[in-house]
Amino acid sequence: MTADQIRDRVATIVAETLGLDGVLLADQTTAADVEGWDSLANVQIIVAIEKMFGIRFRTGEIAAIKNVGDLVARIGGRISVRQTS
Amino acid sequence: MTVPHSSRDADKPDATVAWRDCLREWAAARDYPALLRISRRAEAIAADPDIQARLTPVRIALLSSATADFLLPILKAALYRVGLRPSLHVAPYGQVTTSLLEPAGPLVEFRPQVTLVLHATLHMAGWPALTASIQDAEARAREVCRSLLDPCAVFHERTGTELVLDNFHSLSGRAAGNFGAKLPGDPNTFIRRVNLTLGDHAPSYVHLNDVASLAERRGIDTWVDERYWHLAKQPVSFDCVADYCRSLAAVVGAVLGRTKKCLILDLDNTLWGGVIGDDGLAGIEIGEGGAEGEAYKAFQRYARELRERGVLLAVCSKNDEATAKSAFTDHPDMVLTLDDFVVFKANWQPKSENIRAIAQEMDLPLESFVFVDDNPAERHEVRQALPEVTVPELPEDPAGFVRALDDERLFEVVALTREDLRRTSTYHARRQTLEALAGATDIPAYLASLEMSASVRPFELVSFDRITQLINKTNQFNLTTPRVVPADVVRLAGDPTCVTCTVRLKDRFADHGLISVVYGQAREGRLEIDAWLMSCRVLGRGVEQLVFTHLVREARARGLDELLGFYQPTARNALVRNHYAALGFTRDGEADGRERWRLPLGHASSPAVYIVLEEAAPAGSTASS
Repeated sequence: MTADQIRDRVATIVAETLGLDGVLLADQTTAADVEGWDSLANVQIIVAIEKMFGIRFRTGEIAAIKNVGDLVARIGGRISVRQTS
Repeated sequence: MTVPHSSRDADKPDATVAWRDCLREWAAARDYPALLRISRRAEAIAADPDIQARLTPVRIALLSSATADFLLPILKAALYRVGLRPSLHVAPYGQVTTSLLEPAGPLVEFRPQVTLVLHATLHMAGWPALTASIQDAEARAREVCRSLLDPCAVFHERTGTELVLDNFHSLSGRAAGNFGAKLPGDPNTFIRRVNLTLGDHAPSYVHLNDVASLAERRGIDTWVDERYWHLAKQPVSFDCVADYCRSLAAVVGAVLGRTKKCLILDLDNTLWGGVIGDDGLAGIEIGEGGAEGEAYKAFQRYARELRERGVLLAVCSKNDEATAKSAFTDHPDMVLTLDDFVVFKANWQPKSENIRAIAQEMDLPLESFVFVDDNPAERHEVRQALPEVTVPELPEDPAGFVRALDDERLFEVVALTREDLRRTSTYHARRQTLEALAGATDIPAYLASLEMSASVRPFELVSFDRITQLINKTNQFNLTTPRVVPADVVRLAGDPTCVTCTVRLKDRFADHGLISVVYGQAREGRLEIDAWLMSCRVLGRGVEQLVFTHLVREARARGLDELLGFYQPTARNALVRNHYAALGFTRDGEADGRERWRLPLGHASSPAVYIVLEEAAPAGSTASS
């Protein structure tokens, strides 16, 4: 899966979680840039991402995610690790 | 919580269908993101006035020692599923005890009917030392329970609310290893002791949400996700939020009397393996000797346990009646017997028609029925024709039947009364009397032949649970359809201006127990009858006339000169439309959707009554938990 594809899926999850029709995400986008993406929604988004991609983040990682690009990279890393193992 | 954009407004006539589909989808969903999505959709549909009208509003306060935000939308949907429309008041994070003890403020003003008190196990304090003696551990467990229950008592006293309290799950870390099982001070040993102590000491207004059993069922490793506890103080893993909310909603539903009354069972491939009409008595799978047979036997045993606890059982099967019955009379491995069923329908009619007939015979609304069938097509037929009936999904493998039905938490109770324990035999007796009636040509002679006796008593402590239950469950013979919590009953019993009355009835076939409740209040020289209701099992026995005579006597004794009755029509109580007219009352206008009916005591007649009035037995003789 390419980074773009992952980002698209993340955008779908973010929109669904926040109750929006859609949301545009760039790599530099942070939670603060998106209305409603507060710490509560953030946990719900991460839980949904874990479910959709079948992955588990480490405890420290979840709070450390900097922006959408960082999130997409972490998801991509998990998926490729899983695929090669 | 943001409500998603709803597209439902455009096609509003479909709200009912959308609602039903949404709740069914919710029931099938397990993972949190899906539940969240469906729960929000449910909330949006619930704004529709047609849907609102079907739900009973209830004020629920939620006090949690941990994060409740992730639970809230899911909990709301779980409450919709039990027919409730909650307005929620959520106390500030972590302030459980202080909120309960606060003498005034928004929580007290909210006047919750039910208060959920959620203490996260991982926040539990008051641990004994690992080397504590049994006595130390017991004392410590009592202390912990007191610290939980005392604030509940204060808050109950202040607001009359019922409370639902979580108990505690085990922990995955076992520093003392297996030896901990022998140590009173070991955390998991101690948690078990606290749970037992809590169960022993929780008063009747505190209902336990048995988190220990829920977590055990799913496994502690699944129940707790330490990552989200550390990150967000989320007390239950996201994978288990649904189980947790379903359980809470079921307890709340039971507190408000929303429990199902009757389980209707299919036979072939539901209570045994195979088709009795094709495979014959020797060919069906039931009992020891085969793995599947044992699985069916376990399901029968579960149904029997429900029956012993007060759930009524009935059969609805596509079968030849004699063949179907022979399975119960002639097969040695059958757990259930014909006596366990109050109605037995085995024929070739559509199941929905049979279920409707069962409901009519039993005088119960369709909402009180649960239908269990292994065949998806039959389940679908019943759901389509009778949406009021609850039809749980069943797995294909009979080994999963018990779990699937139990998971639905449809038969929760908050008390067990003597009436619950003998309900099946009461229904059988009712059938016998109906048959006797069919043979009788002369009503007075028939009533006399029943050899009825009754005791009429005010509300008494031993009967509070049953009184609450009867008020909340009775739909047909109910003049004003009030809904109460136990605290209301306590208040009525203690108010000297109130007249309260309960009737227990026996006849030569059965002891029917407490079957009628009436209460009213003396206002301006009149006795205003605020509630008059009766179980339909004893319809046509003349209990109303007996109660009427009693009310007239009570009113005279208090120096009152008139009775004032009310009839508030509902979809289900047309049965009592002429109740007051038949007793000689005159219609006196209407206010707030209620007809008023008056009777000056000077005009009160003395109707014939075929029930011998018993001297009241001492209150202690009527067992009720």
